[in-house]
Amino acid sequence: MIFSIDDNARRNHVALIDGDASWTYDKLSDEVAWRREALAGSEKRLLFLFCRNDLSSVAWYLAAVEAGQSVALMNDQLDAQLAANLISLYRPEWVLGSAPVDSDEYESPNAAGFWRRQRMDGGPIHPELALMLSTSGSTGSPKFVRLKRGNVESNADSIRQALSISESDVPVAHLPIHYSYGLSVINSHLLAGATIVLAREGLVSPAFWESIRRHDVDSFSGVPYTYQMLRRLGLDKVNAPKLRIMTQAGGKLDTGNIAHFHQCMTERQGRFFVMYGQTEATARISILPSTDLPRKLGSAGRPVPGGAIRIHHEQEAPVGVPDIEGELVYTGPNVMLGYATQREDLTKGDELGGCLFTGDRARIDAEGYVFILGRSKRDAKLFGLRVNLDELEAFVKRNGPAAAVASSNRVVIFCEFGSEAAHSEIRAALAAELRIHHSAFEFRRVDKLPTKDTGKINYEDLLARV
Amino acid sequence: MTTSSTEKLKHAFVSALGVSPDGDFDSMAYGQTPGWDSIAHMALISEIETAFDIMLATDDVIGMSSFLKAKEIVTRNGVSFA
Repeated sequence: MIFSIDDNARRNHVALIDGDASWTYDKLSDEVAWRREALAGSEKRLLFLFCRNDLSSVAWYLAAVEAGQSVALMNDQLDAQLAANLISLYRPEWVLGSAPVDSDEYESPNAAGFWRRQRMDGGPIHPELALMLSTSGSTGSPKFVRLKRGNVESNADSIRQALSISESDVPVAHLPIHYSYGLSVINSHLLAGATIVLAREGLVSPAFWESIRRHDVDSFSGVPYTYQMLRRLGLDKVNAPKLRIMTQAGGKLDTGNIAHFHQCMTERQGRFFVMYGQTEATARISILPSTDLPRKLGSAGRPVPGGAIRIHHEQEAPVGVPDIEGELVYTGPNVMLGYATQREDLTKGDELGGCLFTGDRARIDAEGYVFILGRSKRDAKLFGLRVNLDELEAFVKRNGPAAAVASSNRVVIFCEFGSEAAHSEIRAALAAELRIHHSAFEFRRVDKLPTKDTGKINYEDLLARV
Repeated sequence: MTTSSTEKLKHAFVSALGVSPDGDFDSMAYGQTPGWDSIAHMALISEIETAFDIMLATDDVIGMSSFLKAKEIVTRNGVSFA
């Protein structure tokens, strides 16, 4: 089975813990096996799995891949209307874990608990398509990344090697499993035969830390905001003495916090890993070995095993000269097949050939370490969530001329209209629409948005002002 | 002074969680009140610390699971609601 979960040598070892329940690898294999039967069929089908970090979601995800079907992992907190939109765009043959589908196109849940589409009118699916991940979990964007089973397996193995994950590790899986980073924690640790503690509570909940103590969790993962929060709480104050492995991805953490947590882990004879990746590369692109800190502070490390990185230059650049800025290009077996924005796209095969233009500006030093400098695409990372600035801008523009640029952890929106009160109203609406805390958005009034000769907004000028 | 401390606390909730000023504060709880997630929680902590000029300990930050709990914790930090 996938990730060798049915390997006989580990059958009595605990694979997953969820509250008072725990599954050995043997039990997990059984749970995956019956679900695989329920999803079996000669026609390739699409499952929309509205998931949470629990045993059943993990089992259904693995079973769908094992059955050779396609599964899209969805945020189960997604607004019902947004979920309905996605269902009508993708016409999944099965829907599982959502609130009842408000449509007469689906039969009520069967014994296994999923909704079945009455008319199988979805159309063909490419044989290689195994997994679909949203590029933004909460906004209901129709844009998904298409992945094949080999993407998922190879990236899990690269991560396992780079982090030296062993079967004795006990990670907490609290990042959502519909999020590529959260899923990669589960995949890489299942492959290593480790024991994963599933968590649905946040860091500010007493139950989260109780669970970490109770199960002797030793491995933790987080986005920059997680670490900023943990810094405020104090690692020595949360009483988690066994924690000795930390990984960080999902955006750039300030070097002060990197140095701090590296120091904390070093004192515990542990390791702190700074990582970089994209959903487009299944999850992981590069990892900075803990032993390279503090020497390479600020670097996102070296490509994961099996991958390679280079810098693409607008103009012809001298070959082999390090430290030149440009767009980071990654090649490896974990590069997605391509994007999808509707059901018809699922017939497509591999459109990238293992080569991904990341849209991130970077430089690579003489020793091969990559430093991420910023986005060249119009995306921002807010509290670990990716937000497209053009979509955000379109939302604000309903009220008048506006332009948005991203700084390190917030978006600044320049408006040619509105009072402070009006801006705070739009800010609240924007926060609700994107489901991101309003403190991530700053509004500024300008008389005139700067433009280029072409009449287009001069974003460089705006960036210089933030 | 009763209203003043309570009003200050309510204002911190409105500002950090985006809840209505006319809401039922006594029933608000982390993970249940829409908008009160871990990110909003940290914003709430910072609003409360600024409003009352106090510094909350880790246990208080983690333990502030409802409006009523917040009131209790702020009181313990030397603020009077009586």
